[in-house]
Amino acid sequence: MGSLDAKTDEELVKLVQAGERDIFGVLVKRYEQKIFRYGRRFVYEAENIKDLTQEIFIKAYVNINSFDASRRFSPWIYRIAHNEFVNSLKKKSWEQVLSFIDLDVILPHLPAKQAIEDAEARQAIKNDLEKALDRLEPKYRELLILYYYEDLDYKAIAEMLQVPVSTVGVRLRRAKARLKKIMEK
Amino acid sequence: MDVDLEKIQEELKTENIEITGQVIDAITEGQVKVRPKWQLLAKSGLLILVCVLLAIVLFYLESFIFFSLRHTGIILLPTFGPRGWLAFLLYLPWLLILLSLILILILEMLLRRYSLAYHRPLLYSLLVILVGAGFVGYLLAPCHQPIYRVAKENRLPLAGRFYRELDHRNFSGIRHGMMVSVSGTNFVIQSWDGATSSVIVGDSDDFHNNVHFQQGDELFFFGDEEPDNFRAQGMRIMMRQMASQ
Repeated sequence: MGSLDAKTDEELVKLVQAGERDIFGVLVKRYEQKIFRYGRRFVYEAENIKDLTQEIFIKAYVNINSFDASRRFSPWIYRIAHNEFVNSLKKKSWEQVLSFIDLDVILPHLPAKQAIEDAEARQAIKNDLEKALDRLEPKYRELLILYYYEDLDYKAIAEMLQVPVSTVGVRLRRAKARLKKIMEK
Repeated sequence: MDVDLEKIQEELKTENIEITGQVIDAITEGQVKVRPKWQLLAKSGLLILVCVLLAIVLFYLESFIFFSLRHTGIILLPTFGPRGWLAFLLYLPWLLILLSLILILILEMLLRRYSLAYHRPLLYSLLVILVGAGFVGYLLAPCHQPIYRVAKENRLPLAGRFYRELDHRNFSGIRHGMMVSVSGTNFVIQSWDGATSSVIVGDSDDFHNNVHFQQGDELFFFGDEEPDNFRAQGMRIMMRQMASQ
């Protein structure tokens, strides 16, 4: 097991794809808390996050052959999680689902540079986010969670949400402005 | 909505979800199986096939639109100034354009599954499809001419009707067809459906300026409908009768 722990996610996936099915457990172990945390904050109102998390890993396992091991594993598993969590929103409100469709994806934007923030500023946003989870639209809430809590970079978020990198920058900027506005109220 | 944020925070700190065992049990007990590669390949193959078929239908539709605009002469209307532009917009085959826009949207939705599309703003990929389909359609438009001839001889099933209908569409303010005769300011032309009509043109040099008209020249007139005839405001020669030149 020790040698498996030293392997990258992508190397582990290659082994699973080659037929070593049990090794999938190592991947589940690595991501179960992260995916659960992401779901807990993103669809905080859902009562069955644990079941949804389990379903995400089952789906990842079933479709493991569709993963291109030359790419990063984390955006791929987060993509499955995103779809599953958005589907759970769908059952609750079409309005929330429709809020994901916006001009940010349609119109071109200037290339986005990843913002450089010190640890204190990041912590402040994390604290605000925790307090305002229920007052942020899902698309902004999700982005802030992925960036500040899950530490995904712009590229990984763009890959996961299947949007241009510049869209991530623009949306994140809006999300922070929205959060600030909420906190000022 | 009432949300107990403190409870969520507490849960995040304390909950140890440990689902690895359950997932591994489901795998080892055979409740879940990895989808075989051939199934994934078949799915991607099917998606590509659908995209290719949609693109073919789209190219056909776009080229038919260009062909119909050229065949009816509507493509020339913008050259007659603002009034011509207005008529052009009025007579565009909007139903076909709407249909091709729907196809473009479906194609865009399918292509957005590929990173090449989703890494770019939707507007770009949409424009690429729109301009690409328009360009290919424009290039392929002449290919409809032989199909049109077959349709005219009633030898083209199904789509033949669409080609034949092009000859029977009457546009107010437009006369288009082969010149039968010209006498002073009076032209007689025969439209594609065989009907002849008389067109009165002004004395302006614009109509006759050093042009020696031949029987069989393809002419296009834009003007006003009058009770007994048609008074042209402008004329374009679409094709000269080559044999007699």
